[in-house]
Amino acid sequence: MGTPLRHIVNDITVDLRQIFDDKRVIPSQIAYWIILVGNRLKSQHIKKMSSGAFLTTFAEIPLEVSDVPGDNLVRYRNYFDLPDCIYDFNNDRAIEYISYSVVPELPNELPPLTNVVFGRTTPSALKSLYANPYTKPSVKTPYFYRSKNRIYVLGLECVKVQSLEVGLYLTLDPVTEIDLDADFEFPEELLFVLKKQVLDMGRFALLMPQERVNDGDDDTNPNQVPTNKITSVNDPINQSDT
Amino acid sequence: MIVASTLIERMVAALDAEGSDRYQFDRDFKPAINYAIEYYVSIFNAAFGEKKLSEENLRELTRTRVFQTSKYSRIRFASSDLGDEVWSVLVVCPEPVLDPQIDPVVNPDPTSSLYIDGDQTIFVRSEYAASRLNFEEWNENNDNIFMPGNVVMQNKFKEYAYKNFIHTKDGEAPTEIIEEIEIRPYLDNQLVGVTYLRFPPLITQDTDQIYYPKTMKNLLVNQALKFISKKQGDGTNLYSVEEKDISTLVSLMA
Repeated sequence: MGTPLRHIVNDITVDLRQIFDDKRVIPSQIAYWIILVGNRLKSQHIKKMSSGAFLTTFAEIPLEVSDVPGDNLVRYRNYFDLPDCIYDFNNDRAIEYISYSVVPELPNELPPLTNVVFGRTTPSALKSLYANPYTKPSVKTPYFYRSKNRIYVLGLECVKVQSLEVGLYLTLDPVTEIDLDADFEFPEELLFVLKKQVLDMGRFALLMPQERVNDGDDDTNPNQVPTNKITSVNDPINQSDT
Repeated sequence: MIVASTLIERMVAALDAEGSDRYQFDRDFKPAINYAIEYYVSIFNAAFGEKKLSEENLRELTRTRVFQTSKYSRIRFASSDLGDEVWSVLVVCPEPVLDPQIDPVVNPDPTSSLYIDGDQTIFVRSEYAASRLNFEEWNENNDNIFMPGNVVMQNKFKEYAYKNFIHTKDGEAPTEIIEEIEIRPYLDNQLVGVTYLRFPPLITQDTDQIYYPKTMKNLLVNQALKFISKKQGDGTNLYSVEEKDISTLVSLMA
């Protein structure tokens, strides 16, 4: 059992009220702040750690093909839509793998994802892939590329594939959908950093210098302008692995 | 609660009028005490507005009742239903737990809310407390998921709000005070618990109760004496003495 989002929201709410007792920040806003910071920290964590803790597997995603063009849709090309929002890592690494979704006939049969894993490519790189018979997209060497929320799959044009198995690194759900009482999918060891950064954000947002209150006076005091500690570009939060 | 006669005894002593007919109940004490009761309504209003005083201090005037909203998500406080004149709404509790837990009843006039009598059910608790919004906030917050009263968040982040007081239906009883609040996210014919302050009843006899806490006894005596001193206008120092006492006590309360 991880820490539910409700506990984190309540913790930060109490802390903020101790500083700004007259201000009321409702839980949805604090949850939004948590999601903002949490996505940043979680994405760094996934890139840094070789861990399956946040890998989500979708076992049977239907593969589709359209015979009419549409918005961001090429006809006669196999595709599937991402079932959820994923991180935008370099080289689409938020898509950990794509494989055939075939139910093994025998209990001890190798799982299909060990047989064929789809390679990642880009539309511009496809020409060279097709030019070489060893890299040409085929049933045994299929490829995928991403276009917004849609994943096009190449190499399966001559076979009928019903569905695919996909492993994804998902972002935190948006505040309109996230479950307050479900386990918050976030590394527990980073909760301290998360809380600190959300509190900093909250303190900054809640600073209300007198000059911003429209009382008809111009009593500007430069010291009352909200400021925040200048963070070095070398601060660990600004460093990434790429 | 304070019995009016206890105030009168203290006022008689302060006026050094024991055994005298100089001051009479109907002519002097009743208007003076009623003046004091209304005076402190004004004082409390100002104190509430500045968040200097908690409404819970007036527990003798606090009532919790159950209402069923209209189809417009509104609740009407009609003094003829409640038997009280509503002074201020303290908290609006949507989705209440009641005892017994009854369902909303069929409302013959869905444009009006219903007062659910305490014989049918009583309010137990609620997980929600609606925030109070002013008229501008009410309109602006409609789609803002970070403000109470928005209609977007229907999950566990739901934050109720209410707008008070509006009066949307004229001509029913011109002499009756009807106050109406509106709740959002909208509650169409749903039960809601409301805790409000009733306006303190004025006294008509010296045996009547004054619905203020006992700690206000001296404040009421002082204010009533101040009223009498105004009537006297005799150049005594009663007015200045009472004025000083009152300001001291009010500042201590705030």
